[in-house]
Amino acid sequence: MRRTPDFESVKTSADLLSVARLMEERSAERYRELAEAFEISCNLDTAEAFRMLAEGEDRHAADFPALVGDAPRTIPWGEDDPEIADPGAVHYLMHPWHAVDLALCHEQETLALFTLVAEKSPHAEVRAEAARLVERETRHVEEMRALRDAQDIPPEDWEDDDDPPNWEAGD
Amino acid sequence: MTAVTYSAKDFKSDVKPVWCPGCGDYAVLSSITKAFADLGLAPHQTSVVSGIGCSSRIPAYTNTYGFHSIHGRALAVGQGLKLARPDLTVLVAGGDGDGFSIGGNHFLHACRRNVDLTYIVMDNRVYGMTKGQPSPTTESDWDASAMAPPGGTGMTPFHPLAIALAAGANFVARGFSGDPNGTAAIIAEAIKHPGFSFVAIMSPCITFREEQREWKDTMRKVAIDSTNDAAQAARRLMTDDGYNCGVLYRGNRVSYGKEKIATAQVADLDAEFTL
Amino acid sequence: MCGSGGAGVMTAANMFLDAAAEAGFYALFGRSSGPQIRGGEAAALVRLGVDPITSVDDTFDIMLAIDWQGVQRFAAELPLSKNSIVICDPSAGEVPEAYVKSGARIVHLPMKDLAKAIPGGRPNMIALGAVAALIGFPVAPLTEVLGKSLKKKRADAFEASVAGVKAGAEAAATLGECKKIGAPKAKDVKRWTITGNYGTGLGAIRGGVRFCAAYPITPATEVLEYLSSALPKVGGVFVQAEDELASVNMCIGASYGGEASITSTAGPGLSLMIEGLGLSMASETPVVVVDVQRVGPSTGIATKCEQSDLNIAVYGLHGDAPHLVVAPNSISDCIFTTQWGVYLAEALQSPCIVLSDQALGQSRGIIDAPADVAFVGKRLVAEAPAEGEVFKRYANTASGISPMPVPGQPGCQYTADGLEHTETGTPTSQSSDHVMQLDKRQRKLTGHDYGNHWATIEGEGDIAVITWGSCTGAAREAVDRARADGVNAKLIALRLIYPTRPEHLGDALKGVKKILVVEQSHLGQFTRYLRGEYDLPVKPEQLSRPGPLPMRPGEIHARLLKMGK
Repeated sequence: MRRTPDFESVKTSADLLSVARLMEERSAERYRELAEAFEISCNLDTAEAFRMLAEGEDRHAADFPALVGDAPRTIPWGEDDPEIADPGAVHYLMHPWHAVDLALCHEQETLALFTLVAEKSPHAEVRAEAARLVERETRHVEEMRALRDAQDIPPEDWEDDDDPPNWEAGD
Repeated sequence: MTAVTYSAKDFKSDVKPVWCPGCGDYAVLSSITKAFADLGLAPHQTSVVSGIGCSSRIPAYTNTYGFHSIHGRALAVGQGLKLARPDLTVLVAGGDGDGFSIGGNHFLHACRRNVDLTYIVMDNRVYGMTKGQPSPTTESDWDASAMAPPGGTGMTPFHPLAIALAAGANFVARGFSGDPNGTAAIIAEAIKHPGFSFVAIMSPCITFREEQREWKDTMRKVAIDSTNDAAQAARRLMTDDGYNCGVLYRGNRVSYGKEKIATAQVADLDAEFTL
Repeated sequence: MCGSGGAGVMTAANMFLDAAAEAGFYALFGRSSGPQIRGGEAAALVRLGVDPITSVDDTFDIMLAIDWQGVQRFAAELPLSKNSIVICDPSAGEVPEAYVKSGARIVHLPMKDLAKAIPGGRPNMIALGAVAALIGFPVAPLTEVLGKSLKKKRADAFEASVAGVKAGAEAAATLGECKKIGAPKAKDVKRWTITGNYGTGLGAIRGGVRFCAAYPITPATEVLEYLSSALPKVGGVFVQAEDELASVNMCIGASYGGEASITSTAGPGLSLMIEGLGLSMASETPVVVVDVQRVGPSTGIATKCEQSDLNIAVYGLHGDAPHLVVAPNSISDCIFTTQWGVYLAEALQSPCIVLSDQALGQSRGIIDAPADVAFVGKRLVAEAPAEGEVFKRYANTASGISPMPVPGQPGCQYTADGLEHTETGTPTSQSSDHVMQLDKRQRKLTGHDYGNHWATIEGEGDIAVITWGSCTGAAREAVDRARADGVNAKLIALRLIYPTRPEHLGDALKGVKKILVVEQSHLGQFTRYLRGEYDLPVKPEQLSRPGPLPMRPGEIHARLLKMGK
């Protein structure tokens, strides 16, 4: 499900920075949830990778100035904003490489989104701020690519499951 | 006194879900807690009631008053709670097996009765907690699980929205776990709408129905405005392919139940029997 | 008094009972009818006296038949003796053989012809007048009752009925002699007229119940009939649920919300509610379920009494699931025991099954006004934990009772769960948690002080008659008769069926040399329960029979005399 960004609703540079910061925060939150889910299903390496990603997003969020006024309740391009990992895109046997690769995809999508804003926003101030965010996100993409390439490449049969799914006794 | 406002996080508990990584129910949990926060509710004035199944584990993951009851009976518990305590916000949640198979009769009568509560069904068209049997909403030819008969059940899938509409539900909507923000908005509307509000949320089971991962590409936001004309809503539903999300029907029936007003003391009841 | 539907026997009998109440008599009124919704054969079974009545008698003194349509069906329920009188209309044809065989005196009263002679006259009023005159029942209260019930409708109907009663009374002179009722004793307490099922409803409200969800079922329907109109008056809620599964679970939901809740049913419905009762038990959410027992198994005989739901009530829940089971032993006691049951359920956060039965529930009695007792349900209320501490809904307290919050209370949010849980309510599969919660849930029941209410105990003697429910009335009368014959027995009617009170029963049985268990069950469920749950000092004798025939005092009396030899 994709929505067309609502360029009109982001009117100022401050609006855009608030949105960008919120995206990083929510992304961190989602990675933390994923880390917990992987801890519960005993895939600790991948859980650790998601924790590391969450901390990275925390740092990205902290790069932005503290919010002025009310935080935007929603993001103008919807909940499925690029920097939020889709919980449906994970598998309980996935490796840290997959986790970082997923994060890389999201960084790339974020980059694409800000590139679009830098071109299409009707407000000059927003276009200029978006251009600066594009530089920033380009760095994030490169960092993430390096991080992914530093991970062990998973074996081809990583999805092969020797154990049938478990079920909760008692429910 | 300053009003305390609660964030979505305040509605989550410290208990960590036992759902599979990638389960759609994580996002539904987020949507529910976001809807509560967006409506300005307080955790102690909110209640989440469920039956049994993967998704029915949800009350423990919220910081509201919760009841994890028995298989199929969540709506009964929820209606009893709401009728006894109209001041609380009551949300009943569960899965397709819990709600439409073992709890099917309660679903029909809850729609008819129209108690002011919201019922969320996380529909993944499979029994996940017992290893993958076909559920009432499973496609009739689905046999990918060892638990399904070869060639599928041959049974017509249950159509929750059409049945809810026919049985008298006052609010009928479909959401998708892959669209948590849109789903949160639908849930918030459902809670605000008087009477029985039904929200079916397509929530993939990535363990037993791996093909449901594709829902993120097939589900769409509803392209039509909602209606309060049941006949129109029914026509839309019967030609719908099941992938349209949004609010389909907003009825205007009055909620069940009268205001509780005592007109007599307990001792006054003796008079009927006294000679 | 019997006749086919439309003959007005029920109306006549109800008026008779009202008049008896007016005049200061005690009475017990039961009914028996065919399966037809309209027009079926019906019998009104009335016992009248100057002293309190809690049992049917061995035989009927008078049987009045307006017609004989299908009445032979009731032969076993209408025992007559050679001292009885059968009054019938000569136009109704042959007296069925079963009644002839009894040796009762058969007399004719042309009720239809006498009624015809009065404009608007009805045979049932002729019957009423005749029976009243025959037993020396005063006419004034009858006329008064006729006035109350008919004058509002039509003055001519009242005139016709009074004339009918008068004609019947005059005609009674031709019927010969009959046992006389005697003069009523002065009332030292007010009298009530009530059925057991209405009493159950009233007791529930007295105990604090403000929510009922129920599904109709014979013979429990009158409980919901009463509560559907009475509950809203006191600010409560009544819901007719779609089935018994919904009933019990709606009650559990309401109870979780802080309202004392009740549902009523009979055996088939109780079977459906069992899973819900397990949830109530495990999640410690109180709920009261009234089971007005009828003949089982399966659909059985819906309109007749049997005490055969004991096993399912006590042992029906899966898992180790101790819970409250209480049983009223008279119409009046339906009020008290239900109220007490609500009180106990609320105090102990437990499901409570009130095992009433058809004979208590659907019989109407004239009784002494019941005392208004102080048992009003009250839960141990929770307080929010200190900052930084977690609220423990299922805290392992010394009493086993954990404080229970009411939703809306800040800081005490918890999830009630039927899954085994930790003290905070989080699901667990650890043995230590399971054992802790099992112990806690058992301790709160066994450790409670139930006072003297665990049983009704009357008299002293070498023999103990242990019984329960509607058999108590017959057993009481038998014990009284045996005492007059020089055989002393002690009556023990258990009110608290579960948890058991071994020490208390042990004390009550001290010095007892023989035990007779009286119950209405083919398997002898109560006897088995007593022998399984209690260390009885001697092996008990058993007097049991399945429904639908009631246990009568005579047969218990005969057994007591035999045991006393």
